[in-house]
Amino acid sequence: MSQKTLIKKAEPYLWLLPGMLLFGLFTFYPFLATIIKSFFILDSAGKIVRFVGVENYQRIFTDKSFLKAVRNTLLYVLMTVPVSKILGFLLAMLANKRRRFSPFYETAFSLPMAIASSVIAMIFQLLYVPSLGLINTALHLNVQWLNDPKIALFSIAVIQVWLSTGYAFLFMLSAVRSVSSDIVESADLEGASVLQKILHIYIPLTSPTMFYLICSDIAFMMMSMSLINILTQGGPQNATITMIYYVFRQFSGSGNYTMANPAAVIAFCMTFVVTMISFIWEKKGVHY
Amino acid sequence: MKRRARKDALVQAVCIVIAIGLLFPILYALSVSFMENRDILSRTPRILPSKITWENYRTALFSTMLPRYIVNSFVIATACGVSRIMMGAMAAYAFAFFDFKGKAFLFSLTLATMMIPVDVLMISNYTTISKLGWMNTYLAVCVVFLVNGNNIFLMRQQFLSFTKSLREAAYVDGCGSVLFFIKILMPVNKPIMTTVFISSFVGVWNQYVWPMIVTNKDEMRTVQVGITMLKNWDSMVFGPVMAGVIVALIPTIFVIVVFQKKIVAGMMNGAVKE
Repeated sequence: MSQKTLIKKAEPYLWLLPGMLLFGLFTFYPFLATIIKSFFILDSAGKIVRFVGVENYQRIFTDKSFLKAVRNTLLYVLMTVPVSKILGFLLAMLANKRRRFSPFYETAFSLPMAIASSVIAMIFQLLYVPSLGLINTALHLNVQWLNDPKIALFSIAVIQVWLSTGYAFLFMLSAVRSVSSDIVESADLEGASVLQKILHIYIPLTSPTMFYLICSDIAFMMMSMSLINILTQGGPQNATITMIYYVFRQFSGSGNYTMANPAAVIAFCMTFVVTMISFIWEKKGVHY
Repeated sequence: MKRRARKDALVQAVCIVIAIGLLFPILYALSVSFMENRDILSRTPRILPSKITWENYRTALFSTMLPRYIVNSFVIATACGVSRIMMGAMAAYAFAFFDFKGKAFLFSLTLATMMIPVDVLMISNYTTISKLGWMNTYLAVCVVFLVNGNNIFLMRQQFLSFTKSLREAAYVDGCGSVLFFIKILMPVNKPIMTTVFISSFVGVWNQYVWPMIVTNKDEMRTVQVGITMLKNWDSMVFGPVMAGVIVALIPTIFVIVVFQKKIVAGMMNGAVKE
């Protein structure tokens, strides 16, 4: 083979090299390493000590704080995903028709998606202060928003809903607006009420977008830990510990790599299963 | 028709009220950032400052590391944005214009990266970074954000609308592959490059977990990690923290308000597959 054809053959691989190299080193290698290492006992620097098979997995399921983390994570998904999607849809319905002030409130509704979790966490931390935070003082309450184990996870979910609604709104707005005006007009002629139009026209026709949002958000929420690390560090009494926060605390707090890896693998598998279930559910429920 | 106009006005009024309610936490933070400590700590709730003070901003900007955090975040977010354009476009170029062995496999690997959440990878990536001795460097923070599967997918879709014959024509005119990429493909696809840059700038600017894990020196913190540490020196001093919050918000809000249409277009293209 001449040199020229060799270069020609190699060319596409050269274009791909930097990207694939990074994927290999920082996505696929760590992914496989995490799975493999989850079957080993590791020292506090993450080095392999000895093979134990599935023993780590057996042990982690007897760890009360991990079980609590699994429960909390699922609860957190249930508290955040549906609410932010419904709110996003309702806001999109309200903003559907283009009006004079549309640009203003469309931007306002979608703005939360530009806001970092640490920024909003700091603001809510101030709002939630029991003695002089605005929420308690304005409503004459005396709720320990972040210190009461019964409420803390809910308080954090509220912040998350605030963060996710803007994103859902933007997607739903474009979905709602792409519903053809012919259908809506003919429904109007038949005297359909607003509720009927929402139930029989808008919800079915925007369901693919809704489905995409729900799937991607479930996967995202299963992995949440930022707000928790900033506001409660998993406390009080593990009331807000999530799976990924458990992983983080194991390896970064106590250098317990042995338990961190299986926890990460379980978190990944659960996310994967939940996403698959929603895929199957989509096949049955979503209208195209 | 009069009823219609009235309904329009009503809906708009409702929307504006909701918008203000939704943005209330941000507006409140803005207001607190101008309050004196006395106002913030008063027993009766205050929404607006009794007297506007710049003291909190002075404290945040001159007595803390906040300016350094901002510089760090700017460097990191810009570097990642540029890198995602370059590497993304290069990979997309290969996928869109070449036929080669293993193309389908490599492309599905690229898509697979979107299925693996970065959080699951943090243990091993942290080990890699500390083994390489990269802790507390810009490189450590950037390295996991330098390339993004979604960006590659998005740019490939865009490049596919560009016919192969155009590239062949460029070849005939003596334009080599590299030259074609730099002189024709990149400039023509400027809109998508802008979208990728902006969305990745905002995304990386807002990152929290990974930058926190790979930095422990104060001067290497990013702004998102840094502002959560401002509270630690005195738990009740919220004024400067809120000033920091507002400063950290400005770049992203600016970008979103100015480039909203572009970002939305990019997200939709990448997300909803027909």
